[in-house]
Parts: sequence; C-alpha cells; structure tokens
Amino acid sequence: MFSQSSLVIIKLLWSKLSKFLTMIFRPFIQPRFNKQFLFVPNFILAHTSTCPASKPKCGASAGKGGTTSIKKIDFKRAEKSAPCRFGFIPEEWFQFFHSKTGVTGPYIFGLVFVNYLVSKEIYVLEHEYYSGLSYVVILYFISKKMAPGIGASLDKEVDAEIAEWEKGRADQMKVFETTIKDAKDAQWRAEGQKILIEAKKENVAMQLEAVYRERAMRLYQMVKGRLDYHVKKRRTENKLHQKWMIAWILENVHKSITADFQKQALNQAIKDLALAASRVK
Amino acid sequence: MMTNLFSIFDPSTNLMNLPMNWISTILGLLFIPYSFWLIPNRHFIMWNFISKKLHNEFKTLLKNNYFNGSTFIFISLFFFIFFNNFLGLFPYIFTSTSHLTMSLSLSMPLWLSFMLYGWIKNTNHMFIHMIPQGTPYILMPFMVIIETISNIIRPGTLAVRLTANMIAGHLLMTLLSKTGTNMSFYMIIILIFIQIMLMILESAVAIIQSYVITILSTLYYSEVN
Repeated sequence: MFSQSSLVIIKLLWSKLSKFLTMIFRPFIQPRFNKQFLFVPNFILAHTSTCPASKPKCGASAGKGGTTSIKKIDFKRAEKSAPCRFGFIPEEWFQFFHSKTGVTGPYIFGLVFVNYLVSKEIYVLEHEYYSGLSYVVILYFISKKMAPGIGASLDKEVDAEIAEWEKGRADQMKVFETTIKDAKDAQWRAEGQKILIEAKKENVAMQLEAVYRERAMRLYQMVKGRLDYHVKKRRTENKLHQKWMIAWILENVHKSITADFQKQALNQAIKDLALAASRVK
Repeated sequence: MMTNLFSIFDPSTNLMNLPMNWISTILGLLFIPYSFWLIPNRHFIMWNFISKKLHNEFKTLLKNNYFNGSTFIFISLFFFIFFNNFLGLFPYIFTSTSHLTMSLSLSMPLWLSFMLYGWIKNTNHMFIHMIPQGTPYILMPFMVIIETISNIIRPGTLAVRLTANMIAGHLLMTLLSKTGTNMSFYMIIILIFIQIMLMILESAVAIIQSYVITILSTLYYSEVN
C-alpha cells in the first residue's frame, strides 16, 4: 500500500515521536524500557521491565541453569525529588530541547504557546485569570522573602533529628569501644594469670627442691654418722690393740732379758764407745 | 460566563456531564506528607508541628473528657477544611466548602452524634448545662428556651458560618476581577494590588474558619460529657 520510501519516512517519524514522548514521560516512569522491542512505542513498555508478566521463562534465560529466582528490581526510590525549574517543570524537558534550540528554546516555546492560547481565545482572560495573577504575585513574594527563613528553621529541625540519631549511634559506638577495651584488658589480665601461675609453679618447684636437698643432706649425715661410728670403733680397736701389743712385747722382752745377756750387752756397749771415741780423735 | 452573581458556585467542570469539580475535595489528600525515610523532611516536620500544636490546644479544651485519640477527628477535620478552603483560592479550583452540602455534611453528623450521646447517656448533665451558673430564678425558663434554641441551631451555624465566609470572600474576588476585563492597563495594576490584599485576607480567613469550626466542635464535644 505504501511505497518503500514513505515507509522509511514513517518509521523515522515514528521513532522520533516515540523518543520525544519517552523524554517527556521519563520523569513519571523511571525504569528503563526494554530495548528488544524497537517497533513498539517505548513509553508504553517503559514499565514492563519490572512487570512480573515480562519476566523471562525458566528455559529462556541463558547461563543461570534454570533455577527459579526472584528477579532483582532495578529501580530505587529517590531520596530527593528530581530537579525542576519554576518548581514544576522537570529539568529533562529543557535538556531535550537543548540540542536543537539551545538555552532559550523552551522559554520561547512556552511564551509562544501561551500567546497562541490567549490570542485564539482558547484561554480566555476572565475573572479567574486576574485573581490567579494576584495569587501568583503573592506566592512569588512568599517564596522569595519568607520561604528561605522558614526553610532554614525547618532544616534546623531536620538537622536536630539527624544529630539525635547520630548521637545515639556515636554513643553506641563508644559503648562498644569501651566494651572492646575492657575485653582486651581482661585478656591481658588473663595472660598475666598465666605468668603468675608459672611463677607459682617455679616457686613450688624450688620449695620441693629445697626440701629434697635438705632431706638428702640429712640422709648423708645420718649415713656418715653411722660410717664414722664404725671408723671410730675400728680406730679405737686398733689403738687398743697397739697399746696392748706394745705392752705385751715389752713385757716379753723384759722377761727375755737375762743377767748374762745384760752383762754382754753392757760390755759390748763399752767397747763400741771406746772405738767411737778413738775415731773421733 | 456568569448568569448570576452566584453562578461561580455551581458545579461546572464537566466531563460528559460527569461533574468533575468535586474532585478538588479530595485533592487535599495529596498534601499529606510521606514518611518513607527515617529522617523527616521539612514537609513532614511542618505537618507534625501543626498537628502537635492543634493536639495540645484540643487536649487543653477537653480537660477531663480527654481519652487517647480524642483529638484525632478534630485535627483531621481541621486539615480537611483548611485544604479545601485553601485550594479554593487558586484559580479554576472549585471551593467545595463553599457549598452548604459539604459544610452541613460535616457539621450535622458531628452535632447529632454529640446530642444523641449526651441526651441518652447523660440526660441530667445536659439538663444542668442548660442554665449557666448564677442566673436568677425568674430568668430560668427563658434561659432554658434560649439555650435549647442555640443548641438546635448549632449545626446550622457551624455549616453556614463556613459557607458564608467562603462565599463572601470568593464573591468579592470574583466581582473585583470581573471589572478587570474592561480596564485600562494602569488601572489593572491598582486592581491587582487590591486583589493581593484581598487574597491575603482570604488566606487568613481560610485558616481561621477551619480553626473556628474545629474548636467549636471540640467545645460541643466537651460539653456533652
């Protein structure tokens, strides 16, 4: 029905339109769209990447080995709201226009659009408009003059709350650190106990040694005493024997010395003396 | 286009004859803050601040009749009416509290429930309350009549006070703005200035009216027991 070139043009236009619509609606639909489906408008399918119906079947997914696991949800809830201008126009709309129309593009577009609406009387300037105008002026002044002050005081409250939580956390950390320190102290003391017990063991060993040596000495002395006794007894016996032997010998000698022998001995002694006297001269 | 002075108060936003403007009634729900994160944001803190202030006020008023949670209904009534009044100030948003249907639907069930509870459960107490302390004996019959009448018209006063204030404010604004359509440019600046003053008054009236209706409901509740 359509020629080849018109089909190409239609496809090009459709892709542009879908891109444009995605850009517009992306602030409202955060998750990424499924890139497989190129010919379906992306903004419609943008949510389906996290939809349960779009989960791949068990056999279709490659590399996981067919286990039924819960698909991880990629999007996260943002902590702060997305950036916007004038309080209600998202930043992305300005970025979308930037490459084609520069910085002033969106503003001109807004101005011209409003101009069109007013001049064609699509938007009629009636009583609502004037009351709205005065209200906008009031809101502008409140946002410029009073809002920073209110914001600052509210921020102080938020900071106070944060500080409270942080304090609780810091106190708990301190408690934990004290506990750790005390535990380490207790461990150190326990090791000291070991040393103490070693010392006590040594002490006891020394005492045992001392008692052993004392007893050994006593034993030695007792044995020595006994041996000394035997020695003394033998010596005493020997002395006695000697004394009696000498006495017996002398007695016998005295008995054996007769008067003849005595005379002979004396005469011999005189002769020896006369010889010795003659030798001396 | 205005067929008569009060046509701004007719429900008018239509979608295939389905009146859409009453949706502004529940638009105020969007103002309630989320407490998704642990640390509150400014919005949440502001909300809590106002709620606590109101709670303390009502608790003081209720004195011995206070049970845990007695103030909740009145605080939510306050916020509901306040948001409706406040949103009505914006252009093209319908003020639902400017309709007697809305105000009466709020005040009548409250009053009726208080009266039924009071008269059935604490009949003597209600009779005693008819006459203030220290009235001379001659005046007592008249006092009873007067107090009965004032009791009976209470739901009407509560509703009509709110409705009349809203209507009056909006009427003034609409009339002023109507003259702006056929005006020279320099006169419009004066007009806008006057309208700004009026708007500020209207915002104050919005808050005050919601506070008044809530406080009075609390008072009526405390009288019953």
